[in-house]
Amino acid sequence: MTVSIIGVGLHPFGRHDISGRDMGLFAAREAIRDAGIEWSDVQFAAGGSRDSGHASALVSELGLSGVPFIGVYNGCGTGGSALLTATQAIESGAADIALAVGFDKHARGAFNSDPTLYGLPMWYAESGMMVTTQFFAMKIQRYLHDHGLDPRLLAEVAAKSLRNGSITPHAWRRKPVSADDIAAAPMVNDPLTSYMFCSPSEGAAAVVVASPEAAKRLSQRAVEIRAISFRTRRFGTFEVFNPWLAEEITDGATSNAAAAAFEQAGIGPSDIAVAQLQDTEAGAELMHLAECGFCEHGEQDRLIMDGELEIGGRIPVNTDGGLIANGEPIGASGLRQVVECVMQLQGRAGDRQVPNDPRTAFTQVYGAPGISACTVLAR
Amino acid sequence: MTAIIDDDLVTEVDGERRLVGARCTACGTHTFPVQAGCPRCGGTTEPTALPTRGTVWSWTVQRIAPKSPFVVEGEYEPFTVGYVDLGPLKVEGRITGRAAGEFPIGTPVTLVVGDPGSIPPYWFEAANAAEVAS
Repeated sequence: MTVSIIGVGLHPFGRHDISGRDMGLFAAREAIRDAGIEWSDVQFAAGGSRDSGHASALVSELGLSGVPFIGVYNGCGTGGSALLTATQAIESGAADIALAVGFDKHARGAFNSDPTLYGLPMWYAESGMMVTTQFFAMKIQRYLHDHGLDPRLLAEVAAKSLRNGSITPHAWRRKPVSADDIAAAPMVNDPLTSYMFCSPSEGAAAVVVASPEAAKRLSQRAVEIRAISFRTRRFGTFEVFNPWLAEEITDGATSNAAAAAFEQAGIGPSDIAVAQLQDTEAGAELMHLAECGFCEHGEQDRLIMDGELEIGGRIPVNTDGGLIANGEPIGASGLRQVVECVMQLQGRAGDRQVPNDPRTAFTQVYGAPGISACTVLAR
Repeated sequence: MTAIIDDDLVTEVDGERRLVGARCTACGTHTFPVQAGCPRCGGTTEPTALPTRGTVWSWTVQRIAPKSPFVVEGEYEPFTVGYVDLGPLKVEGRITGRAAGEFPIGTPVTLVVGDPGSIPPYWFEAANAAEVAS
């Protein structure tokens, strides 16, 4: 059975005067309206936030319909997990129409994590090693070394995100910044400067999924979920919050999730017309390009310098500016990628629309402590 | 002779303070710090003293002071942190002995263990670049 997306909703990302929960309500209502249904038609729901409370509490204002609503608390994989859960509810026959929703509103500044929640000793954080930006920097530092890539590429990636963000109404960062200025900005964690990181932010996204019969009945423009995969890390990967790494480093959760998604979809990376990849910082987009199979490791410089990742290029990546331009409300971020791909496939992306009627799309999220969710979407 | 100074973290072997890791009795996988179950095969582990010399495997400089519960005495100074390849595993720690950022991948470093209870509890020291050259 191929489950379809029949409605999408988004609350703009950035900083807002309303609560995370209210943004979640907004996005859910938008998705329901976009699908042309009523809340009472939704037979199953899943969703979550990291810092803005229980998604299931949304029912008190959407309507106390008695719907089964599964709360998801899965870090950066929250949106992907919610969509997976909703999709599987349709596949199992438990529901014909389901909602996935994610929202968040984070304090300013880098995320701060409690070591004891990760099974880590207190001295690890007290020593200043429990810092996510540090991990991203060490990972890309080694990657650039292993594959002979120029750190300048990091500035080019961030410049593309901010350029795309500047033409995206729902984005937070709307001002383009040149690669030269990005490279010259204050260093946060070498080799990453301040413009190369995404920041915690606020926002919400929601998706309505439906069985083939319901989609046919309700939608003229449904987008099929050809594949959805979710993986945790295997032994030997290089992940955040690790006082040690194995003797041999192996492929991360993204490689496994992406391979599983493409196998399930029966198409490959070269068949994809538009993609949204997790760019927590510019290095992540660089690595995920290869881990998802859009190029070989070390080939990223050619893709970037030839403009292949631009809107209008061979494989446009992060067409709405990605995390770098939108920030990361953890619960909403993965679903934002799906919403953006649906808008692109339906030709509704406005100034940032990928030309030539794209028919296939791909999304990938990655997060602590080594999880990844991918989708292959098609129309 | 082996005397455990800190059950979890540090041991002394022939007068030298070393970090304690775990070694899987089934597959030989090393972890740090000690954990009871092997992350590779699920087998049981035993404590083992880790090597004290290695090379920088990756690094960055922490330019901005980390948030609480980071411990700093006096004014914050950026420090280099990295993974040091010790052979059977890589261990994360601060790298000292030169200016921040002057530790390219491959730089030889040696473990230094602080006094019991110190933060950080251990770090890796590189030979001064000028001394290496001479």
